[in-house]
Amino acid sequence: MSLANPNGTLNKNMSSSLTNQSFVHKSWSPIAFGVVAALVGVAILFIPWIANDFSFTRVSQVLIMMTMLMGLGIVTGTAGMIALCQLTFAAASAYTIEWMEVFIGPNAFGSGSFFLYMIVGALIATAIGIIVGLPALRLRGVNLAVVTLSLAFAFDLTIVFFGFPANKANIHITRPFGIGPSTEQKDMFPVTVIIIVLVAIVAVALVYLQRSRWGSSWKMVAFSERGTASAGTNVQFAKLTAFAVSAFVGGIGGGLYELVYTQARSEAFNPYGSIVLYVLSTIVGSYLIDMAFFGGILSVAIPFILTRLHVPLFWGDILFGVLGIQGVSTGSNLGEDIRRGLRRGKRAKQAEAIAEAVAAGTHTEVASVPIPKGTGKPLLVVKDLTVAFGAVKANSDVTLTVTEGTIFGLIGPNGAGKSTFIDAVSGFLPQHTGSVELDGFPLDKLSPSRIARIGLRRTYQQDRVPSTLTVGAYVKFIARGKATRDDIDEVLEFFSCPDYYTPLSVVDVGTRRLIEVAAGVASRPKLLMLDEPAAGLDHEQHIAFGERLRQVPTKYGVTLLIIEHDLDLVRAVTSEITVLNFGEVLASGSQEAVLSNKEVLKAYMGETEML
Amino acid sequence: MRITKKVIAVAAVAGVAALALTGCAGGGGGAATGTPIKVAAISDTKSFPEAAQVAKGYFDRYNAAGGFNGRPIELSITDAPTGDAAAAVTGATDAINNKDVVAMVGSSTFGECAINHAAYEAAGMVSYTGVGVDLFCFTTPNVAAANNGPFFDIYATAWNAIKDGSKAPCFVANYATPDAQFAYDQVIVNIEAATGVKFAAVQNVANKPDNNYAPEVISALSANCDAMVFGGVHPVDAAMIGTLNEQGATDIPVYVQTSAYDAAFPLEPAVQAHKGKISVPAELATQDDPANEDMNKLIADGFVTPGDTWSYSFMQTGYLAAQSFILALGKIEGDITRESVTKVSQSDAPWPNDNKMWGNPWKFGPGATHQANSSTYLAEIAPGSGVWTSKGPWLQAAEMKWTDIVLPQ
Amino acid sequence: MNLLPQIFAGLTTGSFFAIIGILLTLMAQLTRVVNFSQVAFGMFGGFVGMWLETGKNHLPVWLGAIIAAVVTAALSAIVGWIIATWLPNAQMAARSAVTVSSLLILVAAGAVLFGASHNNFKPLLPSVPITLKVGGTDLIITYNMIFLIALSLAVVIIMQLVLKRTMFGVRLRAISDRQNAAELLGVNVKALNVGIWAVSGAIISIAISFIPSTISNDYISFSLLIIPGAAAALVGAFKNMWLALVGGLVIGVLQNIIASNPNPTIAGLKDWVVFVLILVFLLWNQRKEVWDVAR
Repeated sequence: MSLANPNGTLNKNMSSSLTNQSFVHKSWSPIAFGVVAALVGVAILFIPWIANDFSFTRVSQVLIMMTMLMGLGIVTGTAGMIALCQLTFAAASAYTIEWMEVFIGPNAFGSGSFFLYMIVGALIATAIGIIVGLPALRLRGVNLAVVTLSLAFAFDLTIVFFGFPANKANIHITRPFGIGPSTEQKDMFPVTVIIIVLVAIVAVALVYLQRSRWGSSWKMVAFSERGTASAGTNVQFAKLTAFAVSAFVGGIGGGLYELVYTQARSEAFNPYGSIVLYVLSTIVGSYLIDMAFFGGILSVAIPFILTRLHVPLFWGDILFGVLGIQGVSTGSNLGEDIRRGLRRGKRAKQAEAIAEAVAAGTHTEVASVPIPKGTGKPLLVVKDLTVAFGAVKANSDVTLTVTEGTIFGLIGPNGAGKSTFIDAVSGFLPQHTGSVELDGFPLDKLSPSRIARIGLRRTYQQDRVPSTLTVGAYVKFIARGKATRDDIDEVLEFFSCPDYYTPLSVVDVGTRRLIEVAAGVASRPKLLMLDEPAAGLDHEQHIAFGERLRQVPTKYGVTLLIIEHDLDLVRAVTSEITVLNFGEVLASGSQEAVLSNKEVLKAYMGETEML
Repeated sequence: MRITKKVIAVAAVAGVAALALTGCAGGGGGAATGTPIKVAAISDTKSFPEAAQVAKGYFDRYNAAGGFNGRPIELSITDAPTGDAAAAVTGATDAINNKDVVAMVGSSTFGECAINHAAYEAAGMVSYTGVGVDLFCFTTPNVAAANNGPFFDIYATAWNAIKDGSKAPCFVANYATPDAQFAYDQVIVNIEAATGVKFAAVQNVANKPDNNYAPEVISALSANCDAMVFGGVHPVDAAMIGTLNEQGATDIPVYVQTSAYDAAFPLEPAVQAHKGKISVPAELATQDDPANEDMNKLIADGFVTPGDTWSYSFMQTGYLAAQSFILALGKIEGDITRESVTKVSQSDAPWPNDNKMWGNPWKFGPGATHQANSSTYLAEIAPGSGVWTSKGPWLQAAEMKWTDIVLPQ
Repeated sequence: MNLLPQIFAGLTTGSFFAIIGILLTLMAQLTRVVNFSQVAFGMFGGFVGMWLETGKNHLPVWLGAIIAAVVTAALSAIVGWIIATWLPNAQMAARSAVTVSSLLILVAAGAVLFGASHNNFKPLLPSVPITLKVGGTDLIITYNMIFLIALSLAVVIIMQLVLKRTMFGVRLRAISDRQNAAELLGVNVKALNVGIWAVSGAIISIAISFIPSTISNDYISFSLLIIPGAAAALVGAFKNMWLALVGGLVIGVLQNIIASNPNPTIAGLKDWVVFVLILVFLLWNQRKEVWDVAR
């Protein structure tokens, strides 16, 4: 059924209820997932699957690998970095646990001391994760891969050199609750149950974390560092939290390893293992919990099959390598492929329905208000802003003032330096000269995220809305707590955006820009700079969009600066305009004065015939 | 057909699967048709494939000739690459959980004893290890190895240097695991006490990722040593000798560990360029020894097809482990079970195994530790000769005042 | 204690790190890939060559080395072709991720095929050193070191000349900077890419043929020498081949100096010191580059 009603206008209540049906939010689903997973896990234990070869050790191995993959998935899958040191985190944790067993003593804090040691181990791993994350602050992508690999190497060498404490002291760590030390079924059964419970807890916690503000920031960072920063989120912090959580989970993995093997050996954590783990993670898409589980199964099942066939285990690595190349080349992974396959029909329909609803909504005109006149108070004051890239001056001595409560137009031909101006003002070009003040507060030398938090936000010409989030999660992330759930629904509805729970992956790029504008408004900045927000809209949509923009300063208390090529829209919304040409101010003043200026006309004639 | 990525991926998976399957030569068959006696081995098929494969060949021939009272001995081999502790544990767990497996025979890995010895003890199972490397292959009750291990071996290596008259030997060894470092430290203390000769320099270093031991060798050389004792595998020893040559110390006598005792080592360019004597304490009868006749026959009869780069002495260990196991079986009264095999192995009844491939009578027996192979046979490379020359005689533990390594606590 | 012998021994290994670093930089610049399997390619070729030289096939060492270079170049070209075909416009990280997988394949394949091989490569140059007397100390310089440093210098100088002075160099730069534009101008981007991969494969294979006899030969750990090599390239931020050259030599020398410290704990920290040094250098060197892709 079509979402748009026959009159071409959209019944708001109807649209909400319908889209709500399409994307039901299940806040309890992670717990349900965890409980079901744990139950399934326990149930599997009672199925005498290939009678002789069943062992709790194998089940534990699956879950340990799953834990490693879940942790790695945060950095590589969610936050989009190449990290080749996941086993190092596990090793650090295992080392810590053994050290405490040897030097503090087993069961020093009761029969459950192991769990305390495990947490401490995971925290030490977290600390190392943060240290490794530090280079990620400046280095990105592949440089980081080199640094993580070097760390894995140096750490491995150190552990070979100093040895694991339990091995050196010739002891085995004591399992909790008096469970015996052997790998026989009688001991491994309780161990496996403990591991199932712990892994289920970690998995559920990670699902919640992925949905939280941190999770959103990781997905944002993976998609665009600039987008993250201009949302007021410190990119470094996002990366560090990703590394920290990843390392913590890796540390838990090390603890589980100790629980099963009771004594660690350096070879188990060598860099080669971390490389295999990374490749496996990219193959399955281990940021998806179920796929991490599947990866765990693969990592145990493949050696099992190879052993039965009397084939060297290295063939398994060759297989992983081939699948890894295949996965990276297609830019996908098993998890996404499976999901896409399952939802193929449904997704297309949803996307179509959303596009129709948005099209109907954005064509709908709203109550017309006059162009806002503002309070007369200067909000953004820019003086002599100059940005030079080598010998080329992209902005030269740009001076302008945006009045509070108005919509200010910044226009000019392509390459006139408009986006450079926004970049400079929003803090991405710290080398600029001149001064920028917002509401009397100097912005020069501040970082983009700081500027965003002070109340100057921006949108981008290019798509900066990651498809991994939902509409609501994205707006909530951008709004940084400035908008309640009701506010978000309201602003989404105002701009005729898709519903809160709609995945951005089913939303087309044009609509994403609309969502970006809505999110910017929802964050209630003092000034919102829109970089060609209406590109991709048709003429009628422009008019309707302009009407909405005119309401923004009064309705939301947000002053707007807009870069736009469509002069009809500029004419419809702005009170004052500055024209840039070759990086210099060509004209400045009231809309009428500027748009009738001969110089402006001349500069524009070659560019556009809309005048 | 258009070659897409999917097609290639499918083809690759199919290809790997096909290659994997070709490796799966059909087993079974033979004159012995009774209920199989099951044994298992954990083998690093990359570094040490020899022992388990030769043990398997030994059993194949034995089964073809009728087996044990008509029962074939079935050996299943689990691959556990160095570093894959999970694989080693799984291999042992599978064997332990399968009640039909009566013992481990012919295992050969870097660290399997350390990882699994406790599990074997808990399960009451013995391991007739082929090549044992880590300390726990020689210091625990349920494991006895056919080889003499790196600690006994490095002791003998150093002993030979001192016996040859070295007054200021230098010691450079690399170790892969911390327990090895700890054992090497004890060896150095013990041999200095036994001989009264002090090492001019000791460089006892962890395995390096870059395999570059030049700094240690150069440091040791600066202590004016009159002989070099090198601990390491074949390529490491060769590289250390290469460093000596590059530093102009081409005349210094070199004493290497038994892992360098293979046909290719004397042909290493660095070894050929070295002008000093190179000596090794072989852990088993040297290749030209008539004691190897039966093993050579096993190979000649096609029960074992050695790889191009297989080490002869590692092959010998597999032969000896299998033979010792069968020797123990023969002394069992009643059912062949894990319990009965363990009981008889840890008794004095079947022992010693007097095979002359060993320099001393080998026994599993009741001890809490097992330095079962405790003799070495001297071999040397005359400068530039390109071959190992057997010198002998057998050197026994007592003669060189060997003291067993003591575990902490 | 006299450090000069250690320093010169360090230059020998350092020169090998340097050539790895230079090749990594070259490939990062021209093909937007950090090739983690660079050394593994060379090792595979090297082992194939060695297999032909030993056992039943008595090929001369120089012929084995040539075959090794051809095999390595072919392997390298295959991976280059995969990346150029399937990830033409992907980001550097994604393109490089392919080489992590190919590293895995080559290391595993090497273990399966050549696993139990314990031999070191046969040197092409005499292992007898040149000894210089400097103030009463013998300084050992090896032919391998001279060759590897000369090879490094040759690669850097020739590449710089080609890139800056020739029309071909302009094309090479075009395919990395503006691939689509280059395609429009009729440059066969894929062929050039694959060509660069093949050439760098051949060079690394040649370098491995001249590996110092003081480093022992283990397939896996040797393949992971990509790590100090990549560290050397990081010194030049994957942009400057001269810095990569200097970085490789400095790393080699530093490692030897620290490793020769009589205190085993300090000696054991060798890799950390290099790691930290690289980190500090990088953070300082890249302190101003803050944002990803322009806008």
